[in-house]
Amino acid sequence: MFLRPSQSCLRSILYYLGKILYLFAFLFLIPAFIALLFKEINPFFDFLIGFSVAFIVSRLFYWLGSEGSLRVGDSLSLVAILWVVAMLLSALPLYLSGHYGSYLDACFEAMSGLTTTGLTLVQDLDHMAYSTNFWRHFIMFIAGQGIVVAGILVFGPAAGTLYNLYVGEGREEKIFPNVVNTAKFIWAASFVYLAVGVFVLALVLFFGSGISFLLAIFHSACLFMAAFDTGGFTPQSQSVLYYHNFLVELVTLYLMIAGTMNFALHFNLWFKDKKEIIKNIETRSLFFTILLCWIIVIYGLMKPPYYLSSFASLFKKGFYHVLSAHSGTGYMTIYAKQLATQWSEAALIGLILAMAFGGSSCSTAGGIKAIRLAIFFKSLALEVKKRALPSSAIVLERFHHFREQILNEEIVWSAFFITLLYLLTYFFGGLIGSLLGYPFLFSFFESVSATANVGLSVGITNPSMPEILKVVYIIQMLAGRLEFISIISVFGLFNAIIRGK
Amino acid sequence: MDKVLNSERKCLIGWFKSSLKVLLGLLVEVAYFVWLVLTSAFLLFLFLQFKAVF
Repeated sequence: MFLRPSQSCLRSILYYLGKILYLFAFLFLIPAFIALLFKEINPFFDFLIGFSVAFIVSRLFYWLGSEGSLRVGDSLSLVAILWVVAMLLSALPLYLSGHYGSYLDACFEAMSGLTTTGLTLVQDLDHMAYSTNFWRHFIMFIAGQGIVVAGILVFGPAAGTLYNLYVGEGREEKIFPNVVNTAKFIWAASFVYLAVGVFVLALVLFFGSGISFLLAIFHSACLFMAAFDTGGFTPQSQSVLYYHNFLVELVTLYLMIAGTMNFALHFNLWFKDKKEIIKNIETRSLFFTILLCWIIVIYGLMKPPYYLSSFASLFKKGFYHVLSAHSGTGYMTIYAKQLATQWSEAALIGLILAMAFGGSSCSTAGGIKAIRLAIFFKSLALEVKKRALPSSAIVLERFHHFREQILNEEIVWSAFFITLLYLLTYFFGGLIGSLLGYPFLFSFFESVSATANVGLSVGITNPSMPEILKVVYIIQMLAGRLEFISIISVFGLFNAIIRGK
Repeated sequence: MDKVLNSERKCLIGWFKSSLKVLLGLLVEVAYFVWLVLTSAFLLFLFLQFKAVF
């Protein structure tokens, strides 16, 4: 039996929704300022409209709601609703820019940005206004760290039940006992990287690619936001290939790895134990799975129809895409068509595995996550040990994840449950694509790319794809980003409203 | 006056120390990346050698 949520409970959801969206509304003013800087009048008004609508919606929710405590399930539902509303609002200036065929396409782009996926339905990107292009990357940066994480930072002292919201955004680890300080560190680390990343990339673009100073800053900011947040949008339609610059590839490669690392790991390496990078089960697992996928991709690239033969080309093209897929970024140094026509099935399977595995927990990467894979293999080892030893023996399996931990049933069950949900969603999307007439391997590739928030594409994602598939991918992107629990909670909430007593 | 200067100096030293820690941490992260790239390059080298022989 479901308990119907009380009026005060629903009003609390609206209250917090309004409060966080209030902050979100002001973000529209940053690209509006950039529009002024580049003298783009129409986009300036697009962002002003976006700001006005977001502001009115946030105030409306705020006035309709009232402050109160939230149950865990309601907090999780609130996060899912927040992300859907954020998608609808951030799609506004995109749609008004005229670069999208429909509002659904703009919503797809917004959700792809917010969830740091990188799949795109934009038309004529190379002629898009700078401010609109910046907005695509900026929402990646904001939502990559987490909309709620940003909210906690601003409304920190009144955070109250916001820890559940933090969990709802697919993050469980607290770097500090206090969630406000955790949010502060996540942003501080991001800004340290922002400063270093933009500076280095701007230097490389200015001196290496001959781009003017202002444009070099613009491109480096966009590239940084999408690389560190493992997003995958680029300012130009040819992705990283546009720059034809090995140093840009190298820097973005590093930023992808940095972005896929756990924020708690950054904290430990910066302020505590430097050896954590060797000891942590997550970095070990990541290292192993990257190499595993790399071996499969090398094997695949050496099979017909191969087009890469030298060490340098194999490494530059192959390894970049393995890391791009594994980190959940989706940057490409080849054309999307080449992936579909010139990469063998084995190489595509290697990339699918890399995308499906994903990065670290409490990072901006998507996918099953390194820690869950490690727990999976540890639990297998535990089972083998149990069977090999006498039944009276007490068998324990330990792992190091910031501290020594003993593998218990709760940890294993939680990891298995989320992994199973990821696998089911991967197959579900692949099946839908296949039913719509796409080859299964390609539709499966695209489905994994959407769910694991990667953004690599074999060409299925384009403005002319079926509308139903766009909706399916939007749901997959959101479910993958929030790690399912919030989505399940929102279904639970609606079910309770309709059928509850 | 001396007390103020002293506390400012301590603050500056503290800031410098924590910046150094962050920098070292960043270097460790870069080292992990380099190690990953080198191992991958070595694996590719092995593959190519294997292919050349067989």
